[in-house]
Amino acid sequence: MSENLLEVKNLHVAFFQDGKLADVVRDVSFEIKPNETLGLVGESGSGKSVTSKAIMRLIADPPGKITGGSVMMDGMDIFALPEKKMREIRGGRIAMIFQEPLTSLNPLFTCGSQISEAIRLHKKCSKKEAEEQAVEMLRLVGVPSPERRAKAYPHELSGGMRQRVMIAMALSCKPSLLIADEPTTALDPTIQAQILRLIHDLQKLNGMSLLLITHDMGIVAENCDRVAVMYAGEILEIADVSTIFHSPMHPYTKGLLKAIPKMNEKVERLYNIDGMVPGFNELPKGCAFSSRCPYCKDDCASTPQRLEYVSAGHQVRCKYCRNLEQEA
Amino acid sequence: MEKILEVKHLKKYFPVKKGLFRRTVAHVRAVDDVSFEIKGGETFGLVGESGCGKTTVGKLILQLHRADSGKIVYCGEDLCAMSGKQLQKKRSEVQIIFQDPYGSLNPRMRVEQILSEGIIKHRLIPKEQIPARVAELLRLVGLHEGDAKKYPHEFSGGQRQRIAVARALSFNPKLIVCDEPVSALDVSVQAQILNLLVDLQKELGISYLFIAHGMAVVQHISHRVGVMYLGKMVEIAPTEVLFKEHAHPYTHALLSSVPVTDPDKIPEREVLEGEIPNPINPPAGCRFHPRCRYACEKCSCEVPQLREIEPGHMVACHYPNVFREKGKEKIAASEEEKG
Repeated sequence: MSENLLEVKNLHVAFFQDGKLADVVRDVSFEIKPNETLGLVGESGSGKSVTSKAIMRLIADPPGKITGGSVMMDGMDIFALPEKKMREIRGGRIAMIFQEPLTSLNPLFTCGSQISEAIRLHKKCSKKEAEEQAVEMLRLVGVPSPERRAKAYPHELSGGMRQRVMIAMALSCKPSLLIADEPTTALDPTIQAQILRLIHDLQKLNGMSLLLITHDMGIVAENCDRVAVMYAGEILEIADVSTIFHSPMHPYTKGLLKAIPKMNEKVERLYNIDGMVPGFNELPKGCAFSSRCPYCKDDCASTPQRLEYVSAGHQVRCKYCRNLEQEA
Repeated sequence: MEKILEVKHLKKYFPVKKGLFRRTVAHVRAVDDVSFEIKGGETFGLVGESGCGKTTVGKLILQLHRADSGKIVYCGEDLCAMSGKQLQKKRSEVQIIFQDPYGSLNPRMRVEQILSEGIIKHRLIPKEQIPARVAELLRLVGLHEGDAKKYPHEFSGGQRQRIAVARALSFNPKLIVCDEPVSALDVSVQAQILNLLVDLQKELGISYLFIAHGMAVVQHISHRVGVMYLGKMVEIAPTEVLFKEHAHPYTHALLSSVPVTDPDKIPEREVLEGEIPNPINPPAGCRFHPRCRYACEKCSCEVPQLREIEPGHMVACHYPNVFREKGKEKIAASEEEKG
């Protein structure tokens, strides 16, 4: 299938900071095909979550502002839709799950009523039918004794169970795209493995696409078809997952992969990326990574870099990336 | 190498109080009969999921909690038996680095105050030498001397963690308890802090108790590793042994749940069913048996003791290594079906 489900083109998002607009997301473009999983990786503050919120049109204005670009979902221009239509898409066609399930669930309502509320907003059905469907959803996501848990309040459940409730709610209207923003970061490793497997199984069952936002390269390697690497608000590299891990081209991706300690591979010292992510007020005109790049050239910091194809399906935002091998 | 710390049969139960008269109705068995040792210049990794008691062990060693029973022998002396005054002296030799570098530094103190507070309190060096010592500490952790006049909010997360490391070093400690020191940091900064800890160990010969839940990080930095589950130590082994020839089914499941960073080599995964039981009312027998797919009757009634199966490799399981054979049986069975 080559038709794209979601197309993000030249997205720009800015936030007001000290009376000035700071460009938090700059020139972000990617597409997601049906049934595909795209991983969006980057360090904190790289703009991954802002990008996902912009797709859902959830950026509060002010202080935020979508300053350019377009998001097409199923051929519809998300930014041009009236708010009423957008509400149907939110939760209906595109659903979202967040990192911390406790803060995204309402503590005053039972889990069952929160799921059935979502169902009734998008489907015409009686309250009773919606409640039955909510129990069915809880069963689907592997919550033991779902009838009882539907009557439980969020604080009565463990972290893993809460995340299951979030997933049940997100999938209750059979969305064609699920945005998962660090879905397992707050969970323990054995529970993380359970949740990731659950998302994977449900994705196959319902035939939906997944935008998986994470900072964990291991999760990306195991769950994604394609990967976009973000840094300081820009996408620096997009490719399919094995290209990213076996032949990355951008110096940041290379450094990032060398900096993670790996199981089954003992190294004396980890690779250091010196320095730290620049603040949004101190970004250079050119490449955002130039201040930390070991291969930085004279003109890197002054001339803007474009995301360009180096081979089919592999885009890199670095014009010197082809010559790095020889230099090293 | 000489033992610097020996923990023997350590226990800590926290009371659960309820009702008008705050009567104790139950106990959370946070740490239940844990024993291990750390040698000089060694890094001992302590892993486990949240609620398994690994942080409590760290706090007990620092005597931030007093143990209910058991011994913590530091350089031949039992810390649990010491009075407040004797302890204070020892405290300067055992230091801690916390997970959250935003919460662990006083926002109203300048870096030089943070670093010199302990030196002044313990009268480690004459007052006039303090500025030079602060500068030396900052250099040691990769910061500039000029940073001494700044406040914590002027630094990034990674730099703050460097300040926390410098504060721990200001006492010339022999042992540092690192409680999830890199969990709150970004990947590229995490590598900087891990390298710093390794360099300092080589230079100063410090021992670390490295508490973490990231298995890859623990493997990278530790010489020996202990795995905890629900307040019990289930396995202790040298790092290479633990990661390749572990014998406890929980260690196996824990390692199996870690995502690998190679999309072409995704292993057959053993996903644990169920969740960690409540430590107020832990399962009888082996605490892992309700989630263990290899458990049999003996596991549900008899508590397995930590015993040595090879030199340096200790396991608390009635049937160590059984998952390997059972796993093989399973593969053979599935192959037969296919054939």
